[in-house]
This record gives sequence, C-alpha cells and structure tokens, in this order.
Amino acid sequence: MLKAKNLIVGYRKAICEPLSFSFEDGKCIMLTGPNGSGKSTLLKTLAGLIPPVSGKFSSNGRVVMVPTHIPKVKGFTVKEFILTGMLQASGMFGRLRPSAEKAADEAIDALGLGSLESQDLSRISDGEFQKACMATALTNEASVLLLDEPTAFLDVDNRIMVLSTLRSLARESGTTVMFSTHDISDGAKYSDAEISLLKH
Amino acid sequence: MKPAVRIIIFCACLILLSGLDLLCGGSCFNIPEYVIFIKIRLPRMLTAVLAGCSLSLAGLQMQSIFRNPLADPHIMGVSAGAGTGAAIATLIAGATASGFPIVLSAFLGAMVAFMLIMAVASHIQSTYTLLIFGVMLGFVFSAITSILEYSANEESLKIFYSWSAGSFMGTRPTDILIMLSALAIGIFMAECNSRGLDISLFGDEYAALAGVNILKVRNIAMAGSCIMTAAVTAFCGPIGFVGIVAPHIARLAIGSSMHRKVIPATLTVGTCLSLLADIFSQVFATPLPVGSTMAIIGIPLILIILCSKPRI
Repeated sequence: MLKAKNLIVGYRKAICEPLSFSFEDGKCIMLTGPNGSGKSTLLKTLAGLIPPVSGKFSSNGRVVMVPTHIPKVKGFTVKEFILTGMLQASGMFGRLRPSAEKAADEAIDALGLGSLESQDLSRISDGEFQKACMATALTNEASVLLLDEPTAFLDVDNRIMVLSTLRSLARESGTTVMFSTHDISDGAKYSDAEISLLKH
Repeated sequence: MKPAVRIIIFCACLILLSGLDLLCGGSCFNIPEYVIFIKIRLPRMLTAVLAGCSLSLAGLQMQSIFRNPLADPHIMGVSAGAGTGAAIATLIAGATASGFPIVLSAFLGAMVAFMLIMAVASHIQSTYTLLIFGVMLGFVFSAITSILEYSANEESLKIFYSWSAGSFMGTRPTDILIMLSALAIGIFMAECNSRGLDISLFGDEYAALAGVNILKVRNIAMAGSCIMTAAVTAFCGPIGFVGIVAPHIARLAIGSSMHRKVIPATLTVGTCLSLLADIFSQVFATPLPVGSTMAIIGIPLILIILCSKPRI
C-alpha cells in the first residue's frame, strides 16, 4: 500500500502540483513527465531521502529506491553484489547471518538470476544488472520498490525484460512497484496505473 | 591459477623477502654479527613489514571510499601534516639529530591534520568535496613546510631532508610497538567496516538503497587510515606508491574486489613491496632512501596497472 495526500515535492520549493494517490499492494505504477517535472524528486521523497515541501505520504512497510545509475564494479559476482547490499543483516566483521544468505537465494530465484549468480558484474548486460539491483531491494524486505528510470540506456530486449520482471515481481510478491520512464508506450504495457507530472 | 594459490605464492614471497632483508645491510668489524642482526636488521625488517601493511591497507580504504584508483594514504594531507611537524622540530625548535623529537613532532603534525579532516568530514556529505579538502589541506601543510625550509640553515635542512627521504632504519622496540598498535587498530576497523567499504564502491545512492549510513563507513575508514599513516610517516618519513600499487596488485591477483578477500591480499602484497624496496635500498655501499627505491619499484607498476584494465 502506498498513499499520498496533497503531497508537494521539491527542494524547499514546490516543483509540481499537489499529488494525491492510493495504490494497493502488488500494483505496478508508471511515473512519466518531461525532464525537470519532478519524477526523481517524487521518488526520492517517497523513499525518505528528501523531505516533502508539504503534504503527507505513507506505506505499509519498507520503501526502497533503486537509483538510476549504480556502477558495475569489477570483481563482484552477482550474488556477492546482492549480499553486499545486506549490510544490515550482517554481524561482527561483516559476517552474514544464514537467514540473509537464504533471503539472497530467494531473491535470485524470484528474479531468475540463478544462472548468473557466479558471473562477474562486468560480464552481464545492463538489463541483467538492473534485475540484480531489484534483487538487492527485495533482500532488504521492500514492500514498496521505487525505480528511477530503470530502462534508461537499455536496448529493446533488455527494456522489455526489465519491465516484465517488474510487473511479475509486483504480482507475485505483492510488492508495490513504481518506476519512472520516458518510454511511455512500453511502460504502459507493463503497468497497472500511471502518474503523469507536468512542469510547475 | 586459483586465487588461493596466488595468495600462498605471495605468502611464500613474503617469507623469502623477510629472510633476504635480514641478510642485507652493512656490517662492522667492531660489532658482533648477532648484535647487528638484533639491533639493526631485525627492527628494520619489522618496520618495513609494518609500514608495508599499514600503508597498503590505508591505500585500499582510500581508493574504496573515494572510488579513485589513484587515491593513496597521503591523499588526505596526513603525511604533509607530519612533514610540517618534522619541519617545525628540525627547522624551528632546532632538533639536532633524526630521532625522537622529530618523530614526536611529525606524529603531532599528522594528528593535527587527522583531527582537521575528521572535524570537516562529519559536516560534509559529498565524498568529492572531502577529497578536495584533503588535497587542499596537504597543499597548505606543504606550503608551511616550504616557508620553514626557506628560512632554515643548512644543518637543519640536512636533518629534515634525511627524515623526508624515508627510511626503515633506526626504529626502537617502542617505536615498533606503536606502529604495531596502530596497525592492529587499523586492521580491526577495516575488518569491521569491510562490508561498508564494499558498498561504498557502488556509490552513495546504492548505500542509501541498502539502508547504510555511508558517512559512518567513510569516517571509520578515514580514521583507521589516518592513524596508520600517521604512525608510519612519523617513524619512517613519507613513503609513497606502496599504498597505491598494493591494492591493485591484490585485486588482480585474487580476481575480486570484495574487501573481506582483498584486505589480507593487500596486506601481503604491501609487505612484499615494502621489503623489496628495503632490500633494494640496502644493496648499494651507501644505503639509498627507501622513499626513492619504493618510487623506482612503484612507478613502473602503477603505469602497467593504468595501461591494463582498471579494476575499480
């Protein structure tokens, strides 16, 4: 569940009109709008990274945001990358609890990354890397997953793969997914609802 | 070749180089061999080992938190602070020999730089702004040192240059104990922070995704690195290159960037490089400054690494 009432986002100054919405669990929402309309700012606000200018929002669990650009660092396998994101589940000297390993394996299975888990990040495609980032969000027990332009810079095949993964993830795990995109035609095929922002 | 086999080879090299280092160096007709061994060569070898470990581990952490393959332990101005401290001792206070007053003053200089960095780090979110602050701080300390050098007499300058050339010679058991303590603190902090360092390689936004306070990770890494660098620089003078080169060789050797794996490899490689520089400095009739031999070994290695595929 993701709710907002008269939410105005911006960096101290409003950059969009007041927003009110309510989405049930398991919904996949597309966020569109021209550059500078406040898509990233809205996602960052919902993730709790920046405060709202005014208004309220709430969710029924942890909100996790996957940023636009995460560098693909050489020397990490896909599984190591996912485990790296589980710092909060680690104890002294960074040793992971067995439950964390299990959660990582479950996330890898859920996103169909099993065949890639031993691959170095530098050897996988950008689309596959996006899936690994989503798996990291899942291991952090996200009930709301926010993605800032997950299909930017991807070719058609990878774009479709990422969008279909997002929709399946929302339907199968009950996670509320919100992603921003400029690719309205493909995004609309794989989303249940849409928020369009206009420049203020 | 498996990474584990490579680590074993590095360990074997370390043992071999330690033994070789103990055999290198001058001797004297009046002093028995065992005295030279116990009083001169063994402390020198242990100092080389501790300096190699400390600087390479500090370099690894600096490269990770700044996501810069050319970052090294001296990038935050700690060794420049130590240099200013040493310059104050020799050029103003008139320390007459390269000994405890210089070391103490250099250590205090390094600690002043360290405290300034930590005070600023707790208020600056941007890693790049902090990096610029560290580099600028280094320039300020270097400028102060240059002013002191300009007005100093020939004898004081000679003593100061002797310290700044870098050497593993002349350390006493207490000095080694201080460096060992700093290294133990540094390793403990790095091991506790290893997952945070992994996350910092993926950027601040990814850290936010993982719910990690990147500021805390960065400050722990900087504190550990500064403590180790301050201790080594105070006793041995500013020694470059090992902190840049060792982490790269370690990553290439084990084929991983995960700090849990890279830290032990970096410590081993750093020690090997440091011993190699010490051996090289001792093979001539007049021992060469370790800072120079390290540069002679380190620069070609840096160029090879830069021309090959970058690791981070």
